[in-house]
Amino acid sequence: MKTIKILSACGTGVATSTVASETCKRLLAERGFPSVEVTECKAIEVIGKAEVINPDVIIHTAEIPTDQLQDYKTFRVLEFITGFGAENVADQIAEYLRSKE
Amino acid sequence: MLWENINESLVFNHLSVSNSDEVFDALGGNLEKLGYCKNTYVQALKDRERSFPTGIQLPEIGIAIPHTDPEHVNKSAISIATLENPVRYFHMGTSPGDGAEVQVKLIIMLAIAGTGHLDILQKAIQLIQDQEAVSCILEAKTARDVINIIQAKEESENENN
Repeated sequence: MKTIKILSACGTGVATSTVASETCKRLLAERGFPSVEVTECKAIEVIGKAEVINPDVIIHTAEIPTDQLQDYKTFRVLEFITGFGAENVADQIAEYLRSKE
Repeated sequence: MLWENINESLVFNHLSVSNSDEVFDALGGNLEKLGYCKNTYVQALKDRERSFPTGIQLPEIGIAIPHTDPEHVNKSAISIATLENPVRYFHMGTSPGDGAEVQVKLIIMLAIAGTGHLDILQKAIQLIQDQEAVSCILEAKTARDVINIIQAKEESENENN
């Protein structure tokens, strides 16, 4: 199975994106995606990083310029921080990944 | 470990402030004074909050987790405050211009000195996800009470694992 590439963006690139990444990995593993590689970045770097990494999915906890990221599927994942509704968001991401396979 | 390092000098109960800048001055200024952060930390917090707000609406209450870039931090720490009166923040993941306001009663300020602090962050996140612990912290009258609540939560989690 191919490795899923996820780009995780937050304001500083070290705090909430880290938590979101770990939660995302765990929930995707439970949904049949054991091999997930996450790169973290600052929101202001997200366009450049996306071009380099070509992620399958971009997750973000800070606002990002989604109008300039239309080539990518983006998910706002505050639920991964609060815990409330995290399972639903993970379902949506997994469903999207399956639709791409 | 975070919670072993947390001490009463980093916890504020029923802090009386009227806006988010005063929260940054009080908690961030304290982190600077105690040497956890450089003297650029408070201003960096304020700037960062304007670009990337950190308010989060939980089912019961609003909280904020202000933090900024590692270059302003000497040593990782977490500072906690309950607020006497709610203070307006904007919701994480939005622009302040979008007007997604959160009335915040609990501040968990993160001073993160670099990457690889996942344990600290996860502890903080586990705390905000525990509504019972959060409501106990809001009721707590002293810094020691807050620390006791956090440590009791940690111990019960260790037993479960």
